[in-house]
Amino acid sequence: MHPALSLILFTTLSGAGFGLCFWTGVLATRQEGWVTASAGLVAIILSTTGLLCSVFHLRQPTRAWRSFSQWRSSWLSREALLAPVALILVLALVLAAVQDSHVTGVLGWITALLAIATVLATSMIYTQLRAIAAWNSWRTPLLFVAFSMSSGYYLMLFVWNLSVIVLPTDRAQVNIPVEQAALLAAILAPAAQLAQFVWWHYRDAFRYGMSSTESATGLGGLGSVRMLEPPHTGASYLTSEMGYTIARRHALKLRWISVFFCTAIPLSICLWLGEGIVGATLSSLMIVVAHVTGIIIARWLFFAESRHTVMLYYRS
Amino acid sequence: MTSLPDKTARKLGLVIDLDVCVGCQACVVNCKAWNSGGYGSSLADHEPYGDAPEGAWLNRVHGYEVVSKDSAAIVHFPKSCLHCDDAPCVTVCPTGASIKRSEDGIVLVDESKCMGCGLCAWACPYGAREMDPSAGVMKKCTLCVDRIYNENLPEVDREPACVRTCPTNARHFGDLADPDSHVSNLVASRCGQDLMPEQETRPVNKYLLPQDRDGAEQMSLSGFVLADLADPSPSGLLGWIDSALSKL
Repeated sequence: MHPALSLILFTTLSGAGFGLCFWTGVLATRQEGWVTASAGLVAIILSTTGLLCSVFHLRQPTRAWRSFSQWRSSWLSREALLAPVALILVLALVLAAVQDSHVTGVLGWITALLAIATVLATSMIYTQLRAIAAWNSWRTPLLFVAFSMSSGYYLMLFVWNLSVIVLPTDRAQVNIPVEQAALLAAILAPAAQLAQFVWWHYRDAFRYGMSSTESATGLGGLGSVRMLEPPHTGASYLTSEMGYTIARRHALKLRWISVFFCTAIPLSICLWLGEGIVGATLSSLMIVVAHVTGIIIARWLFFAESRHTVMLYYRS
Repeated sequence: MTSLPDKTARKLGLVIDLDVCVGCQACVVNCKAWNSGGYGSSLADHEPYGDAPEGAWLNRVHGYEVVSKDSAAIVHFPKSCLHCDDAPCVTVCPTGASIKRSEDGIVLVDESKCMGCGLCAWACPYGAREMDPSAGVMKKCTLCVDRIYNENLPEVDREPACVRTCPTNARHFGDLADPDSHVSNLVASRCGQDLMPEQETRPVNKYLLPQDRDGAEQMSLSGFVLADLADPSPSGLLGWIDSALSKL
């Protein structure tokens, strides 16, 4: 599949944004309102940026509003509806947290639920496609949610450190034991990485799923089938969109590069965590940047390495 | 609405006879010609006469080599939308542009609603949908919906352009829900095949496979001396003269 930059950025950034929404909601009662508000605003900016990136994938972006209409059957439509609802809830949570309202806790959990539902809906856009065997399994939602949780949490670490610098001391309080916070930081990246390894393992085992050129042409009963004459000599939408092969030969190297950025760098920095609050802020920013860079590389492979059954009609 | 109808009154579709197709590409060209001026936006090309021509086509003919233990054959394989009963391209559509009509089962794109996201083309396992490079909307076979019901055309022309133009009658058009239709009879007598049944799309279009010719050859050749066929035996008066002269 063609790895469109718009979709790679969309899934990565909105994944991280809604992941931060999730943690903001879950931890809303355990931190000062202004910290929740800061996290919520960062989450809204990031998620919205991701959603805007997806618009660049459309050939007729002015008709994007129609995608709110088909929630009964289409996961893309469900995602389009869930995302703004989740963002509005985050905004409500921000307002409630700043005013120290008693609904903050409940609102937090509802926001967290909606954020995770949005990420799941995004992943289902890909998971539902039976023609792309690598995507069509429970491993895809697991992958998307795992990276959303991890990148969201590292963003949260950054927001915590930043609020100590930016906000007055009494407004930057976070009532979470340092050991718990560090443990989560140390677990989430390897956990997401494990989900990625599970996904890669499945992808390598099932290139085209049950389908073959024999089943695609219906000629399997007569012998083995091989393409002799292509239907067109140049490129076509089908071959450029579904037959992407460039740099597939570097796939294995890229996988390890993504592991390096996604997990190795964040874990090494977690052990160090910098001198003083400025150092901690900078190192948590480095964790976010490295982790997200790793996800972007892995997401590029998610598209580039996955094969579509239409290529069975060509010399694949 | 991009939900699929529970049942369609008719199932209009094609039956494609791979035994008869000679790969002449006439259906490909006539499809392009008709659909460049028919329903929806024109089927665009980029650099049609340049170094790298590229464009949207709704029907393409592939060529395959089928090799078994003791034979090899070339099969010409036309491929267009199969108008599936469980069309995955329809249900994924977020805007309501993709529909499967309940009256005749034709899968269509309402181009005025299409936002050009391309998800339906990903959902189709057969590659039946192509994005128009100029209009930025999804194009697909309409089963020539603007021909088959078009009362301005002579009745003989009210069938899809690919079927109308096929010089070998390899493409047949009809109602596959009607068990007595011409196409249903073809499917029944020749074991019409679904493409990729494991994708669970339940295609309406069926393919008829090339038939085994080895049996036919043995029947016609056993006990015959081909040279005899070139040596006619006269009957009547000529026959009597022939046999009388032979006896001399």
